[in-house]
Amino acid sequence: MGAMRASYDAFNLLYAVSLILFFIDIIHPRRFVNRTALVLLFGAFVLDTVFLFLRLRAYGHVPVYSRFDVLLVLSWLILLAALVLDAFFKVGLLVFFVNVVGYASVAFDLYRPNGNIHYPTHMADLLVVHISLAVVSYACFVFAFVASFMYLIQDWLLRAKRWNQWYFRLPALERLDTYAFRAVVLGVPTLLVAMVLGVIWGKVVLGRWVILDPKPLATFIVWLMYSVYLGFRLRSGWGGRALARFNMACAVAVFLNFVVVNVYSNFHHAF
Amino acid sequence: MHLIMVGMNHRTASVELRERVSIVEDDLASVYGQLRDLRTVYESVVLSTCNRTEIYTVVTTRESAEDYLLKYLARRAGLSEENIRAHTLTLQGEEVVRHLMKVSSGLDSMVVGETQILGQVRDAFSLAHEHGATGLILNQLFRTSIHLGKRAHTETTIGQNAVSVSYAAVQLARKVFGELTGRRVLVVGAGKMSQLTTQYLYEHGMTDVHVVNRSLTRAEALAQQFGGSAAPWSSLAGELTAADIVISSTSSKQVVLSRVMVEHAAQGRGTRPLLLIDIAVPRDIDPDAGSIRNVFLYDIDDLEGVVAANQAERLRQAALVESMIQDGLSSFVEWLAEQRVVPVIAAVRAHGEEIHERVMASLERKLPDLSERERKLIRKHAMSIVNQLLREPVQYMKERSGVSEGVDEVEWFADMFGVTEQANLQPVLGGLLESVTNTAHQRTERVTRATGLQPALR
Repeated sequence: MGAMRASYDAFNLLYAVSLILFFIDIIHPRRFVNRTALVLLFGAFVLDTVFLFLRLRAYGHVPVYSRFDVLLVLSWLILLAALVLDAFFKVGLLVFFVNVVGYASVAFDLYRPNGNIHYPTHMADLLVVHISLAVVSYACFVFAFVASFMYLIQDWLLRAKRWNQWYFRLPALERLDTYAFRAVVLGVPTLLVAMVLGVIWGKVVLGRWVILDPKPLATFIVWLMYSVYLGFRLRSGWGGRALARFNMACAVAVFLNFVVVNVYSNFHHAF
Repeated sequence: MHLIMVGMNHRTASVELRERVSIVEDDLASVYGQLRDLRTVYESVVLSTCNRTEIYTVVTTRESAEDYLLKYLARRAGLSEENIRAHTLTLQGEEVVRHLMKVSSGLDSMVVGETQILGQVRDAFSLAHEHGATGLILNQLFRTSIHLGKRAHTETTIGQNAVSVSYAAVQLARKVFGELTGRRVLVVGAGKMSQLTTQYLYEHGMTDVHVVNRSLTRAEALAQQFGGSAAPWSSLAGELTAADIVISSTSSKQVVLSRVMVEHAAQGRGTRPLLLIDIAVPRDIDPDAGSIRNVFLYDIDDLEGVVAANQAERLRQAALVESMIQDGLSSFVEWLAEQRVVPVIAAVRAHGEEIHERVMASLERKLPDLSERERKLIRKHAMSIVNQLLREPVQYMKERSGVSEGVDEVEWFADMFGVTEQANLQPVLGGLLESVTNTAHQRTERVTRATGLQPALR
């Protein structure tokens, strides 16, 4: 447990310091600061991986059965995607913004690292895939949310004619719109598969179709909202401000679904 | 040996003088021939562009080489040596390294951050190399500087921000549309500014050019330059709906594109943005059009605001490049120090191995009954003694190689181990290292005095 705790604390520390350095770099660009922030972010990713691995070894199954673990896997996915994207496409500020969300998800449960809830019957394969796919779709929606947020900032800067650091460092509107769209394109089918697997798991393990529970219903609404976003975006070929705002509203719905709806669900209390 | 640079550039000399001393490619063979004939010059590179003519050399005697190069430039310019001296920049040692790195990265250019100079430095070095004028030192110096110049342009945005009004329009278009390839530009008015701005957009991939002008003939003439099409003035509203970017620069006294026209065009475009650049004075486009959804409108003042911000950004990026230059300078000094100390260390190690072999041969003669295992064990331990004895002196030498007194200590080190001949010490390199590291050493001394800290191995 000592190694687990140490790796978790070190991960938190590195993640936080890295984000502070990224922020300093945005305000007052310095190559050394940027590099250090990126190295620390990589260090945080390694420690997150180590921590997840230690939990996997300690519990004997993929650690996705508590809100704490799910958020940790989410932050791991965000870190991985951000580092890979930055290595290939130099996405710059996107790395900072998505990791603010990634770190916020970790900090959300920072003081409650326990609370691993054991399901009566794990039916591990199906449930793990269900939860993992849901987490992957959440990671996609985090990226989409951040891209839309950045879109609105850049749009405002271009309209208000503020030629400042943010204007220089934020990507083009078209690119941010495409990032958001692609992330949702990836997230929507992933969430659909996760939902279907969840329902099948309910039938197999609980012996009934768990469709009228608040959780699957709310998730379906979220999925519908993203589908509407995709429909509008495909029709116009460009999102614009209104769709960027709607995309952010979808992400808020994901958050509420994750935090609030779980309380009322009959079988998602672990989250 | 000394590293020096003699030349003139846009800071020191007028264009009239620069063009008189400039060295064209056809003259290079003769220039390098003359420099080679001088016994004092070991290596040389001539960098001659419209903004500078600079001769980088590695020489044995600094004063005579400087004199010669000044006289040479004076002869080319047809001026006296005294007159040319006032317009000539003479640098040595570390200053040369720093200067070339600044030149390569665009920091010393008239327009800070421009990229053309990097190609010119690369060409100058290649030509010098082809003429056999470069050697160990300038090869390394130019390669390091060219590499640094590339890094400056890839790792910072020093060359990416527009410093002209026409170019600022391109930058704004890219901030909205990202890649411009495949976007449609509508040019309203066929004046000089329209042409210049369209030229920039065209160079950035906007090849779908449509021109509308009151005189269709002039519209056709402009459209032809970019392989585009011209349309009569009456089709302006229709063209507006189809365009992604509008460049308007007519001499009209009234508004040419009213809010109603733009609103109508925007409605027919769905959520696709419309970028309107109004470079006319008085303005062609109703300022109210900027408040229409998905429409971005900029006038000449906005573009000048972008240019001012870009200039400030270039200066900010220049500070980052300066820190890269400092790193580049340090690594060049380290490399230079290594050139001096590496052969000595290699010779000392070879000497140690030779002693080891001799001792082992003697031992095997005196103890012929040793088993293979015993021989291997003794061989291994004897080598370990040699290695342990050499570890600290070698480490010390590596550390001392980068400071000026270290230059003498390399010779002393080689003498102490009796490998001066084997190390093939080049006395000239010592002088060069001294000249390059002198400033760095003085800086270290100042820091040492200020902090009261003494170097650990002194």
